[in-house]
Amino acid sequence: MAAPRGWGADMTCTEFSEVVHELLRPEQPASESVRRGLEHALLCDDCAGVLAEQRDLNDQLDDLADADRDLAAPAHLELNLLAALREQQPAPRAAALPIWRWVTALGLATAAVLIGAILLSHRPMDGPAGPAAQPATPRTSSPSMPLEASRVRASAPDSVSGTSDQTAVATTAAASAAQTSEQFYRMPYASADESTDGDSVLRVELPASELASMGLESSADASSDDGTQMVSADVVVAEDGTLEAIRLSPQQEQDQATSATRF
Amino acid sequence: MGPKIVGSPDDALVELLRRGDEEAFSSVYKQHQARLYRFAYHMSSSHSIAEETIQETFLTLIRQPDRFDPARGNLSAFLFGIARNHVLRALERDRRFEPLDAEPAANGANGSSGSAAHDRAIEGEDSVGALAHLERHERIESVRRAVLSLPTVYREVVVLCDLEQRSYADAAARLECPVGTVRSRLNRARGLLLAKLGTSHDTLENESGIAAGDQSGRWRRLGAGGRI
Repeated sequence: MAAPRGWGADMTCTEFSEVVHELLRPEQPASESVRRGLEHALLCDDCAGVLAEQRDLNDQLDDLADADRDLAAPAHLELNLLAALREQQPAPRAAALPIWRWVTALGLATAAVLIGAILLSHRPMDGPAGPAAQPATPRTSSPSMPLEASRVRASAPDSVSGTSDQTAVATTAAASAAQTSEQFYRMPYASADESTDGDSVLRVELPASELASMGLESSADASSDDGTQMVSADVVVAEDGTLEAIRLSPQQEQDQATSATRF
Repeated sequence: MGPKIVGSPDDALVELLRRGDEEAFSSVYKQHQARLYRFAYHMSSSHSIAEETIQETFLTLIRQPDRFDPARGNLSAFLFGIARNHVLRALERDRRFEPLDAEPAANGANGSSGSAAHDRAIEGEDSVGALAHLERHERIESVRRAVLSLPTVYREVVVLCDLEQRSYADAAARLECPVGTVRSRLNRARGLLLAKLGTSHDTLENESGIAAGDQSGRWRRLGAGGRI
């Protein structure tokens, strides 16, 4: 039923129904349409009923809003999203080292390698057994060297006189192998002091022709045209660096013996 | 001290977030997640959809922060737009979604009401108080179902204007429609609600039209089946 005009409520029931939901909203309590609507409801029973229903609906919606007021996303969602945020960021770049640090590190590494090599090459004869030290003769064998070396050197030409050079070499090698593979041949210029304190035994490879300069000969020296074939030998080096004695390595001596047998 | 960021607080937060600032993200998340979650839940009555919505919304912010344009609105409106689109897609995807079969309204871990709280109330209070609580609970669930049964465009305005108490202008901005449209939709939506709740005045019921009558009838039929 439309409210009669002129009663201070210039609004029809249809107009009222269009604005009734605004009458109860707090955001515009004093607007002209709200004032007119409320006045219309005072004069129209039907519209007063409609307004009451809207109030009731508001209360029910408020109850629903209150019931869900504490609704929130579960905590694990935030953790997942934070993890996604971390993954989204590019991995931090490794801090670039200044060039001088690289140079220093390279220098230190090189120095370490050199020091290690020097220490290995000057390892004492009775030091811990290692691959390079295996063939080294114990120091206790050193005192027996001098006479043996001179004797072999001296006796060899006698035993092979009148033979070819190859035969002489083979005989010399066979003789040295026959005596003992553990004996060193003292250098002619070696000091007369037989003390071995501070001496070191090193395994070296040297041209076979060098053996001749030391008073030794080998089949390798003889069989090589230019005398540059390398042979393996153990040398005794004094503390002052002087070469005291030398012997062919056992393997080298065995090869020589084989070579001699062949001849 | 970090670099100074100029601009609005939203700009600053998004800029920090773009740089991976977790505190900035937590600040944004804590400020907006509850409202967005409630909106998604009220629209779908599904905690899983609401969680999915929150996750997708903030993942979008994390992965595409440049999509936020302060000239087009504040960060709240931006996030709401993403959440709303996701909810609408989820509802569209689940075409056979039936509000009355939705998961019990507050059975989720986050619900402040629901059967668990309801049972505790019954155990801990006298029978009169328990009965009052039960009635209130039933009334709330009836309203929830009525809201859920509304067409989406009407449900949105009820959720925003009535449940979230947003102004018409704010709702219009978020829904990207004129304020007048919000008013008319809300008027219509409330009429439908009254009809569904069985308390509608005859006049309003007539104005709500045939659709409201049809849905109201459907509601009552479902209610007779024991779902209400």
